[in-house]
Amino acid sequence: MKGERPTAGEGRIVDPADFEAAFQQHFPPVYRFIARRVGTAIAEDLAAETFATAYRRRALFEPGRGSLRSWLYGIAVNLVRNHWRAERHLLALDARLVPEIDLPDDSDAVDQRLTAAFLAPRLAAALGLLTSDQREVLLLYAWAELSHAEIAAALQIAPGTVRSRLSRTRALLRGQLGDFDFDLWTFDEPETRPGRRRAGL
Amino acid sequence: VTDEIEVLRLFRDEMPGPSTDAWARARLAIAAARSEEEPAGRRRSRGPRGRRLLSLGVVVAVAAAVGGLLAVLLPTSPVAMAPGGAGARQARETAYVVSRVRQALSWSAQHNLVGYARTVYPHGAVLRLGASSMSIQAAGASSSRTVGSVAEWWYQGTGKTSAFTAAGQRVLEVANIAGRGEATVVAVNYRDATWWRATIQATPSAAPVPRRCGGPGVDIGAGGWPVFIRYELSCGGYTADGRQRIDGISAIKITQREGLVALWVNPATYLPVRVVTNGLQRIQADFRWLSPTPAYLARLRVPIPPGFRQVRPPS
Repeated sequence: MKGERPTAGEGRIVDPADFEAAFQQHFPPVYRFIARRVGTAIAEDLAAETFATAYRRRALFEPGRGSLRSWLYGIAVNLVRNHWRAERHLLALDARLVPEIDLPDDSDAVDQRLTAAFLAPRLAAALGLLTSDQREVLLLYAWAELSHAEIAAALQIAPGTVRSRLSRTRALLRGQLGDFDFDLWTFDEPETRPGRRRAGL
Repeated sequence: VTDEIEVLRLFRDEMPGPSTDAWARARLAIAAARSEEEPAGRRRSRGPRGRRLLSLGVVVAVAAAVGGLLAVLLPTSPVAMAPGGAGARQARETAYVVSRVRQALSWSAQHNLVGYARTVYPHGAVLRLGASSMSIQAAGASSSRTVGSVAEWWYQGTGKTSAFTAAGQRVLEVANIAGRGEATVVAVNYRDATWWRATIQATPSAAPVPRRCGGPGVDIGAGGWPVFIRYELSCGGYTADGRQRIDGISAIKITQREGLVALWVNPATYLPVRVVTNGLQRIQADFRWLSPTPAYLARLRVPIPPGFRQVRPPS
């Protein structure tokens, strides 16, 4: 499985000590994944409920059928699914965000972060246009950094479905981002060029 | 060469990790899940044990209420029982409320608040005073040293305790003034018109409660009521039990599963409004949380009345 270190929690987690090790390792990334999707206020509850659910079902986790983190993200995704209104609301807010960064037009000090700040509203708008199935596959890949096989295990779909859905979704996202040049990290459109404050919506 | 995935990850990386509150809430949710698994037979078996311990009537807990100075003997309960049979929703609500209360009572959260507590003791509570400790035995016998209530003020490690008879007559005032590594204690005894001063080694107010969960008594510990309540809640076995009006506030009630400790908290601040322990006898404390204005800080002083005679501190 991609990028996953073996830990005490990677075997079965029935034993409380193993569950605790799993909790320590996986709680921060799972929390951040949820918080990025539905906001911190709801994320605290959902992340807590993810691990409470995992505790209740820990006897059902079988390492041979998938990684622990894919199993945990599967629980998290199911919980987040019930809060799709919050997620859409957050994406809608992010899409209306106006970066409060004022740089001279000729500034060369435009780094990736700054560009990302200007890109964030476009990105949020694009994510908001995806279907929930597309968004789940994309974000499990991009934010949770799960492999195709892990995403398949988390969502209980075929690996081939993950591959094709991810491919289509990425193409859609690139299309939504318009004229963004991923090599130069710039927009061709003058009104979205980094370094220029937008007037608002 | 970057792509839309890298951009998405930058978007994700702006999100900070879980706060202390988020960790605490998750741990409480797991604890609630664990308690749901507990066999019903095991839960039932704890009841008689708790009642047996209570029936012993052993009142042995000692608490240093202000900066390691004051001790209060409370006839409370075996605690640390997990909520059994509570629905998942109630368990989540409880976990949330408990984590917020514990956070509100943390040392850092209280740093800029003046705390006030008025504790009412049952008839016959006896006060005992030493150079570095004061204890109140709630189930005491008839004595000339009985007290009816105690008022406590505290702010950043400095505190004052005033003891009153049931009729409201002031009998004792003790101040504990925090210093570097030591504390100055000033006590005024109104019964015999004397006062004394002593220097003792300071005890950090954030020190943990020195007793385990459960047992026939509860040690309030060096941090006083705030630390006691935080510790008590960490023992588990509490349930958010609706709202009740306390001093004009629609307070959230949190009860220990055997009903031996009840806590009411302000829903806006999650700071305690009232705590009641129902051991052999009932002890009630009411709280106020105030800004450190000069008027409130003045309440921490212990004036020595004219004509009072200085004596050696009690051994």
